[in-house]
Amino acid sequence: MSEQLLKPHTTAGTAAAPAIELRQLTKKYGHLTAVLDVSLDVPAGQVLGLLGPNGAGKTTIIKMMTSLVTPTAGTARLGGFDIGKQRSRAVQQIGAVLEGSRNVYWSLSAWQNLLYFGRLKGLSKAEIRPRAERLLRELDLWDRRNEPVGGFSRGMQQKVAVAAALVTDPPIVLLDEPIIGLDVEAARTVRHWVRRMAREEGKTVVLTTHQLAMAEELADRVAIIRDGRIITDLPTRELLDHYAEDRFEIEVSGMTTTVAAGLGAKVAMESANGQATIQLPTSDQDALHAVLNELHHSSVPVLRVSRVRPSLEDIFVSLLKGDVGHGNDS
Amino acid sequence: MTTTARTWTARQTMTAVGNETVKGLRHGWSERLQILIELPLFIVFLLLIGFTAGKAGTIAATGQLDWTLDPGHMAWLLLGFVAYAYTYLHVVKMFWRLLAEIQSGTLEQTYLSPLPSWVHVVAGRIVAAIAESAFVVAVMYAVTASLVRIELHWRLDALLPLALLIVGSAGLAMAIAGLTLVWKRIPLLNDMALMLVMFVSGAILPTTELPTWAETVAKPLFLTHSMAGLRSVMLDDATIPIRGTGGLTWMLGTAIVWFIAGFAVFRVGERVAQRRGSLSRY
Repeated sequence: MSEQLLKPHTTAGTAAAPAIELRQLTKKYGHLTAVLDVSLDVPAGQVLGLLGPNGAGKTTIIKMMTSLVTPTAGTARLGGFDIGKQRSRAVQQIGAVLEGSRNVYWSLSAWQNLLYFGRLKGLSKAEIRPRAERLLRELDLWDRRNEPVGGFSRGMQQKVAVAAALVTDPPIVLLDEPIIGLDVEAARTVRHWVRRMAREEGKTVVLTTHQLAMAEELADRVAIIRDGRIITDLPTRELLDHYAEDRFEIEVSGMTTTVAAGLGAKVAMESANGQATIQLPTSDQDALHAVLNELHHSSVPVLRVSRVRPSLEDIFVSLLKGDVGHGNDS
Repeated sequence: MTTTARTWTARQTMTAVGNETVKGLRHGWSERLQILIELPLFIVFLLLIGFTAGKAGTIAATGQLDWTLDPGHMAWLLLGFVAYAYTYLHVVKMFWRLLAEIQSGTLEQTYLSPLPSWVHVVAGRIVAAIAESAFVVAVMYAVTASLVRIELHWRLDALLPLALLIVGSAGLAMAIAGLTLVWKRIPLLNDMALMLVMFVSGAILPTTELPTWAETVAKPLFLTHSMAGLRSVMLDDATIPIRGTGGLTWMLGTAIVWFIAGFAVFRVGERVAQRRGSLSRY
């Protein structure tokens, strides 16, 4: 049997074409705008972290990319195929773990689920078997492959969902909150898999998550969404550098409220177990010396002075609050 | 990363349809206890109808019910129930399983198949419905035949009304599926539609004995004609006529129209659900 391989008949059907192209994607539910004018190009092999608060529009974007939700306007191309006009070919490009759903059949075993989802996408049993076996072995599910998924722990069920999304070896993987509700161990396994998919297998991954540390660890690029709009879209390192206003942190012991009041309103302080961390808003040396002098005069023992960079979480919170300017460079 | 995609071949379509069929059969097997519970109800209902239907005059005159079964009437009833049981099982199982898939979110995953959605929503369930109803009908036949002598003519041309019954039922199931995608909780509508179909299609009483309005409603129903065609062949040992109730024209026409109409309703319902973003919302 011969299977014709088709190049996408689009302007983007070149070797350098992005794996995912979103153009002015918009979704309105009556008067409510869920997503507005979202345009993104995700190159092959990139991990894009799609971040935003609840209701920002992350899941709606994922569902429009998969044709589960019809956009009000705009287009989405996967591997060069338009999801609206070439759905059959476009969906062959993707594997997805969708948020808030089981993703797999609980009445079936892990093995039966992988066979089912492989065949659903047209693969023969002979094609699926080696992939399914490799996935289940690597996810430590091989010994329990014949048990119904309904009897598995939440973490194991999510592993089966990840395996089912990957069983067809799709070039694009969409992960909508993949570690929500997972314990530490299961979350670590999923994180390991995302890293591996991107680094070793060159897959394009779109990851929506509330776990900002996970996004910082795994995403090559971060797009932050608020009220259906992308407010920042930068490579992760660039984003961190862009907002990387270093600041000083001073750890002290025996801090009193009187001393704290004397440090000024711009200084933040957290204290616990007789120790306190004083955070200066800038890396200004004069400000640091002023605070240290005040501490010295008040005889407060200084334990450590360090220069720190804001985490993605700090930047995310600041962006959503509107404390810093937007860095939408794309 | 590849930017290529395979054309969807006939072999892949068969694989995917076979896949849905296996899933449907697995679901059927997992619900075997439920089927075993439903089965006596089907049989009791059939027997009660057999004991009482058409005996109102005798009951009114004597004040008593003659607890005997008429072989001819029971054969007539049994064929009606065969047709109705298939449609009932197909539609009801499809509805509840679709609802379960919407609720669990697995429906969204099936929509990531390159296969057209109506194929995987309907195709796999047809074989499962045939298997389940074949079992139900076989037991009904065995029990009835143990109580009364059932004389049927087992001819190949009986397969035609059965095949068109499957086509028409698929249409009705798709229509219900389309409505389910939009409104989710429609069991009342579903049950009412099936009760109406049972009453007017001639499963219990001949359509000629129904009120005029019921006869008018029965005419465009695929079940009316498949049932009448089946009785012509297996009961009367006659060939299927071209015209009239149970004739080839009506049987074929209603089955195709119901299939197309069901497909259209399904597609509209699906598009509404996709526009609302409610394919998996419960």
